[in-house]
Amino acid sequence: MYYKGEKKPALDNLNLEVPENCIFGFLGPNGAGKTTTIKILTGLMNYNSGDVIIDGEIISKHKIEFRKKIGYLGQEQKMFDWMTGLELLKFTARIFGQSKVEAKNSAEKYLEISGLSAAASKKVKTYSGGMKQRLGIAQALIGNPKILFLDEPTSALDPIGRKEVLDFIYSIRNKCTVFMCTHILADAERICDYVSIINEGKLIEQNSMSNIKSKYSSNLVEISFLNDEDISKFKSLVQNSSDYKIIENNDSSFKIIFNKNVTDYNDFLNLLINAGIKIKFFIEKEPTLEDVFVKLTTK
Amino acid sequence: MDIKIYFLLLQKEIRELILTQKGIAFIAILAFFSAVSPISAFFMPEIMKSISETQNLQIILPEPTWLDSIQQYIKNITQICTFIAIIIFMGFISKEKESGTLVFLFVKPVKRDLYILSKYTAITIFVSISAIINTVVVYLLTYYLFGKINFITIIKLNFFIWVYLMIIMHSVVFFSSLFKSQIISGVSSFGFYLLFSLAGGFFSFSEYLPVGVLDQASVVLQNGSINFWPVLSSFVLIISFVVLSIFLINKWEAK
Repeated sequence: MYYKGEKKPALDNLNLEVPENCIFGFLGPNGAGKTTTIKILTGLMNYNSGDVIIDGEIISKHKIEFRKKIGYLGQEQKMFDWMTGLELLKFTARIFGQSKVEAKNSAEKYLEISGLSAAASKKVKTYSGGMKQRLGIAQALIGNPKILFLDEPTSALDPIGRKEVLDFIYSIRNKCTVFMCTHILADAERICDYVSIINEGKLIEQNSMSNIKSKYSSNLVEISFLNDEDISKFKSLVQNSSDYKIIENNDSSFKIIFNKNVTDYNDFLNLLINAGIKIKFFIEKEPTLEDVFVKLTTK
Repeated sequence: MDIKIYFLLLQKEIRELILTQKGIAFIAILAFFSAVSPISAFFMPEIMKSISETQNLQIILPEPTWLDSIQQYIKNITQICTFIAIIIFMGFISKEKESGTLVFLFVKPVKRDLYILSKYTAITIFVSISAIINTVVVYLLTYYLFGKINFITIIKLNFFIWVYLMIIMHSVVFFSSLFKSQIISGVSSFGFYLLFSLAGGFFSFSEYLPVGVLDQASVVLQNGSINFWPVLSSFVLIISFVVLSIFLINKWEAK
């Protein structure tokens, strides 16, 4: 997919497979092509080649039918803020073909789910950022979509608003597939089951959250000792080893990185125990999503 | 299903124009100038007399008649009111592109054609309501201040003013669908309005063109024979605006 006048593709052979009923995090640095992808997937932008198949249907051929299957909340999405929250949801429900009574019931239900019942009769323009985002997700859910597309749903929110929105997204998992595009890795790490990472329009990783962490684990451990004597014994023991290397020393604890060929830590621990060193704790550190992201996206 | 969505969108447009006070402002401003026109025509000799006294000048104006009132009305509606109306409606679609509410609608099962049709219908409704109110206001005040006038003449005259306003306001909606920026659509609409106002003198066959529609209002005042060609060509132009907007909005991408 090319932008007019650009020689470099905005998206290049991007193939995504999104499992059903999970929270799918779509990650990438700024300008990686996340929003372009989400706009193509929602039919808001055209593309040069390829197809988007959702629930077995090519979307370009059945745009109206396809839109009945999706919900979408854009980055800092503006809604009709002269309406009340209830009116906005009723209007959205009517667009999805619900009768007046059904629309009212759906609107009340989704206001309840999004925790906005008390603000139902207030104009949307009076809502806080977090309330607007929750209302935005509620309107995106009202047509019972198969896929809910969320573009940076928390990027413009303060910490409280962010927590509210993440909790809400987490609460709707298993009801539909949530395709969430974000550059806030802590958010993705907190709620996503699967992630894919793109950079410069190309897919560079796609896996479940647990697999991605184990795949990029780097044999990093943290060890801590009870007293200074143990620390000096430890320091003298571990010098000049080709199997591991101390990368960080912080008071009584050390971060040690082991070579890839080390499959367990038994030899290392036996060495310390035999030397009479008392260990306070020993933890294998899992890489954070941020560690993986930085590793994959920096040249 | 489509007709339901169309009426739903139309209802939304009308409510939006009322609740954001744009539609109300449009109707109120035109009604205000409809009321001011006979009043200012009636009191003009008095006003000029008081000005001339302070300036030591002698200006004598003939006794105003209902014709002065109506001519003042035509001038106000087709000049200052049209200018204000362009400002009020210049963001009718472009603002929705700018703000993102268009995306809100277009990711839902809404045909873009219906969205455009609802916009043009809403503008037609507001222009028509305004035309009816203006007709009544200008008739009653002219009658009250200048004596008996023919209501049918006022209706005929306002029909041509209505066609004129329809062209201008439909051009505003068209330019609003063409551009993303409210300012650019406003400037383009104003440019069209200027061209439209001046174009009558450029063409020898302007009696057949939309630009000749206001001339027919003058023909009504002179009890002349009405030519409906400008009305017909005006409707062709209005339909062209609608068709072009539908074409443009179907090509629009949320970049």
